[in-house]
Amino acid sequence: MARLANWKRVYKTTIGWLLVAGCITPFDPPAISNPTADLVVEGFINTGNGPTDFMLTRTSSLSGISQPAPELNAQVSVEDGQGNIFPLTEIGNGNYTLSSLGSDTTGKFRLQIHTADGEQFISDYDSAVSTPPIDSVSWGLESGDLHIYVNSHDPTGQVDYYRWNYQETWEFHSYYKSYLEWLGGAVVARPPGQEAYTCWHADQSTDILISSASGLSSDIISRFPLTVVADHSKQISVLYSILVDQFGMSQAAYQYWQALEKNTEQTGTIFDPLPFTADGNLHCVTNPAEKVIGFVSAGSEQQQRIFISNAALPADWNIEPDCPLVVVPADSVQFFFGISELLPISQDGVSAYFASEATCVDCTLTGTNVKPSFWP
Amino acid sequence: MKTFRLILLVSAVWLGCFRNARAQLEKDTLVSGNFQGINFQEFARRIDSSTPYRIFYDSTQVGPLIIHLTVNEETVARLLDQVLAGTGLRYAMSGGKQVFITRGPVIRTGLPPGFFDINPDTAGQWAYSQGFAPGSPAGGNQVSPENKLFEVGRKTNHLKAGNSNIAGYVRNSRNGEALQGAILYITNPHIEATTDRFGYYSITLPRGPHTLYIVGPGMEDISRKIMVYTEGRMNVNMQEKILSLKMVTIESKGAGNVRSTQMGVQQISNTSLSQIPAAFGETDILRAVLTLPGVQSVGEASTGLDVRGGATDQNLILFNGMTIYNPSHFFGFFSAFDPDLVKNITLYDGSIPAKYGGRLASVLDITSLEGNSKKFTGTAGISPLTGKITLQGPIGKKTTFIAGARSTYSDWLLNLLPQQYRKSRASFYDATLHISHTIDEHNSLYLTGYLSEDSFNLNGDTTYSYGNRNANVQWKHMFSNTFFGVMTAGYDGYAYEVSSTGNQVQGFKLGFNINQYVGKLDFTWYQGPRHTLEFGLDNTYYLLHPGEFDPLGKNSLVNADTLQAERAFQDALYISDHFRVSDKFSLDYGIRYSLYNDLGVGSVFNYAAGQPRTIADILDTLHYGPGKIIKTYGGPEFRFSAKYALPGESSLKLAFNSMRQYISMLSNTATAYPTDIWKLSDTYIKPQTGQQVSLGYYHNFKANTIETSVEVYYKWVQHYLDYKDGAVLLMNSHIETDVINSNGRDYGVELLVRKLTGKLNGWISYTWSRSLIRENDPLAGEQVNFGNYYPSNYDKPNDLNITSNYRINHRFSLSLDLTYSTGRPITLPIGLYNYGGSERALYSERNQYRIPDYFRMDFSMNILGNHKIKQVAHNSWTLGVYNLTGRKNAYSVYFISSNGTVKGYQLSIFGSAIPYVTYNIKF
Repeated sequence: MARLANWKRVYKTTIGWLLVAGCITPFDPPAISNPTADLVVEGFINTGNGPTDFMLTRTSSLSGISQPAPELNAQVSVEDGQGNIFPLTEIGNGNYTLSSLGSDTTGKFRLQIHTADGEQFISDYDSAVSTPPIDSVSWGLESGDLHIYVNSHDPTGQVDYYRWNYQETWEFHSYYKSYLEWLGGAVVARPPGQEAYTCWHADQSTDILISSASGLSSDIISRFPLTVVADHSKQISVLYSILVDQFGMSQAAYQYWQALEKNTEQTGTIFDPLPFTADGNLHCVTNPAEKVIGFVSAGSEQQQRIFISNAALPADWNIEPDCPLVVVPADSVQFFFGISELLPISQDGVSAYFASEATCVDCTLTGTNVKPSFWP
Repeated sequence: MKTFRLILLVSAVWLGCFRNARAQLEKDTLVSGNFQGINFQEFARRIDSSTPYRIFYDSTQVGPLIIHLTVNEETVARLLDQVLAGTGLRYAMSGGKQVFITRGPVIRTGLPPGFFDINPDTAGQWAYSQGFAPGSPAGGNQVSPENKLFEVGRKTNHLKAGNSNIAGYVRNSRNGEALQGAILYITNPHIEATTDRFGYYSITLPRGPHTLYIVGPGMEDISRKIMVYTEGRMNVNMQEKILSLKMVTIESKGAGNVRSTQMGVQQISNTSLSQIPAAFGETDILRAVLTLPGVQSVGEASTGLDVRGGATDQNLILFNGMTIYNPSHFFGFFSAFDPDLVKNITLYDGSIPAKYGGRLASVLDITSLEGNSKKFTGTAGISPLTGKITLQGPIGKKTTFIAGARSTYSDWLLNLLPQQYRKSRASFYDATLHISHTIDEHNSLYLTGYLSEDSFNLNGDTTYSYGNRNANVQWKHMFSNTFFGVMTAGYDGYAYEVSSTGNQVQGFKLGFNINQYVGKLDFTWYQGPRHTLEFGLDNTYYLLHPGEFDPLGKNSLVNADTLQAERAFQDALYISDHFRVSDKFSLDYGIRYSLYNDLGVGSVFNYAAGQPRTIADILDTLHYGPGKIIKTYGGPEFRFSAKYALPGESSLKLAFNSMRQYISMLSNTATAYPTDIWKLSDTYIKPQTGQQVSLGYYHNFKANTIETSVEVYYKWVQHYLDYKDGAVLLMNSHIETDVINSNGRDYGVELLVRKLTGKLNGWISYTWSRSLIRENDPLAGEQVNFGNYYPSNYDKPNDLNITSNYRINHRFSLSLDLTYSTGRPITLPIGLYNYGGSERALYSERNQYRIPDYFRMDFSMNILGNHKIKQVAHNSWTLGVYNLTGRKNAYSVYFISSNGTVKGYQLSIFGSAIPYVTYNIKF
């Protein structure tokens, strides 16, 4: 039945498009004050090789600060089915970590939290799911755009529910390679290490990516769409890489993520059910009426990284940016580089510089010039 | 007695002689002469002096009339025809050669023919003559029916005291259509009858002479002088009000609103709804119903009716007695009835007659035309979305038919979409056929078939379709004038199917269907002037396939799954009496006993007692064999309404209803979703029950031309189905774990002012109402809104509708409609949190906030072609603008996490003014 969700989603989106094109406007909600700040628990109990990381925050008001308040000085621990306790270490800003659970990677696990103000939270036991490896991360062009898919299967037939995260990294170049730098009111030679031609940019996935094989006769995930890179995007102007994390889940965990997806990402059609905040598997022991957000599941993680080179794409993928070359007389550098924020590229004879828009010259404005360790 | 007879004979002979004599005289009196440039006074003087005729007139009525005429040997009558043509003046001649000129009504210069028969004493004192109007083809020697005396029954010499019954049909004289809701009455004593949907009436009157007044929706008021001897038959033909052509569509029954016992009954009786402005120019009867007080919808994308706080599935929508499960096209934007075929729409929401049952909130009874019995005609129309055609006419002498079809060609609209949607295709059609056959005086047969189909194809890979299929046959048998029965046998079906091949591994086909087989017997007995009894049987067999999920395509790995079919018998017996206690006081009371049996084959899960119902708590499964009764529900339903007439044209009414509903639609979306499924009551899903009391005051002003009413109601609903957060409704074999048994209460005040005549006409309706739900389910395992009452999705306290039409002349009219309502309830975020890589919204309890208020103004112009009777085709244009102010009315407000942050949006269905043109042709 999970498959139905997909067609429903597409269908709804389309009908929405069909009948309301141009009729969606921003809406500012009335001033609503939420007196309580509920605990939000995010993370998973890693029964594989990796670390177990949890982040504890509080909900914020609608008009509030962009960063939710972290929950500090809490005592967080993982408990297994035999009653063994594995405490996590606070590493600041609401983050708590444990490098490894050790050898015990089967059975059931739960999370316990004691907050600094004396509240106690506990999650339901969740059985560890042994996530099968990713078969492949594939891609294809559709209507000019590049679609990326993940494929997997579980030969043991035990894992029906999946969730994915991904991290995208791409190399990109500024239009001009600059040998000069505007530093301290003067044009100087660009020193090694301040190179601004080749950069890398990284992004995390923000959408919920889940799928189920439960309605299928075999546990196969075929071409689940992860993301779309729009035609001509600078993301694949040189080389692009995506690292996909795969998590197997229990049915209860899947239902939680599905509810979260439906209520926060798939609303806005003419046929929406009432939105709601899904209940996870955490409870407040000291005050049962208190709401707590999050679902704590246990299992292992599988990863796969692929690279996509611009060379594999159609020749017209890259388009020329609008980067006019400007000749700046040496006596006008203060105006052009100091005030107009152009950047120098190279010397033009003795009394002038070639220059251009900052974004055409300095790639570090939108990325980092530090090459990631995994980059070829 | 001999003397009496002799006198009659003599008078008859004398009359006969007189006619001949008169004709003789007229032949002899011929006028020649030049009447150029003289005024009427001079003309009258010359006629007076040169002929035996004398002209009587009132010079203020005649006015400054100048005559330009030269005649040679014309009779006075023909001369007057020419002189008075086009002046609005009429004349009448008496036997004594007296000519009376009047403006307006023709002076009757004698008593109706036959009048002497019953007034023998005065026979000699009156000379017989008749009035006739110039230019009228009937003028001359024919008697207008108003003046004629109709003798009913076997003529007897002397009248026995007591009552006799008259029955017959009231029809439209133009096309022979039966008129539903026409009222026939006499004033002293006050006795009245109303025609049923066959146009049939039966009225019991004291024997003797009466004037029977007949008022019909959209018809000229008429009267009949009748002489009742014994029981007999009289058919009445009524003429359409010429001025009401394309007039406002909602009609009262004359003063029917004040007079009838029932309350909360609204009729829309004219098919020409075209001046109610509509989106894309698509005339829509359900949208017309939405302008009535107490009727709301969730929003613009929906023609689903929420009547007096009831859910969409609580309305019984009947089309010629057939149940229509999905009355909408195009995902709810248009109703699935072709307005050209519809004769009459009646909405019962206050007092529901005992013969209807099975739904809680209302009955929407739609009847089709029967087809023109006089000639073959048709209409065709074209609007931006659809084309349609209707044909009707007689087949032989005893049979009439009407057939219509409508189809969309809206694919062009989809081509305006972004490229990725261009491969999409949408289509819908509906078709209706109705045949009426008169077997003999006592037996008639009616056959109706209805078909609708919607199909939508998304990018060539997901196809989605749904449709209604209905057919029934009704046999009406008259046992006597006062007792008849209608036997109905029919089939109602609704099905949908979704198929997708977008992802080959997951290609699937999902089907749902509902089939109901209906057998009904309805009897009506006009038991004297005081009582009308209705009683009968109503049996329905349901066969419902709640879901069949199959793989589609050879690479599909989808597991096939079929939910067990649901079967049930729903039977009811009813009896009701319309009791006229006195001239002022009348009662309608009835009882309906309904019995419902959920039948095998079936399996029922047995849950741990006292535990919240979850799959984990299933203890075992009980299996039932074919035809075995799984669960029985039943009970009496009471229907009562009373009217007390107050001085002046006003009345007070009180009603009480109780209802039971054994089939519900499962839907947790605000708007009825096209793939919503219906569910029969079973072991765990109890039938919905409801009770309503209502009180109304009705007052008419200015000779019943302005109607006003106030109605107040309060409703209790039990076992209303609400849904758990994240409920799964499709392909769920244990739906009881996802629903919440709730109670509801609805209350409100409805105000209505209607002006039905005059250049400016229309109505204003205002409703203040609430619709609230409260969880009442210890086994749900969760508390919705802490177990408090909360507003339903369609709780819109203030609702104002103004529908107005201004007729500039007979060919041109303007319409302006206004709608205002409180925004519907929604659930808004009250906070934010970070999860899954993105900011996300934290939601409030259900329906604690509202979207912005709704306001819309629509405008349309109706232009009719010329009114010449003899032309090949009559045509009309409608030009309009929907949402004139272009207001972006919020349909919904939603918050979505995108690129890591939460953003709020308002969705408007029609965010701008939408102009449209439609063209209709009648042949």
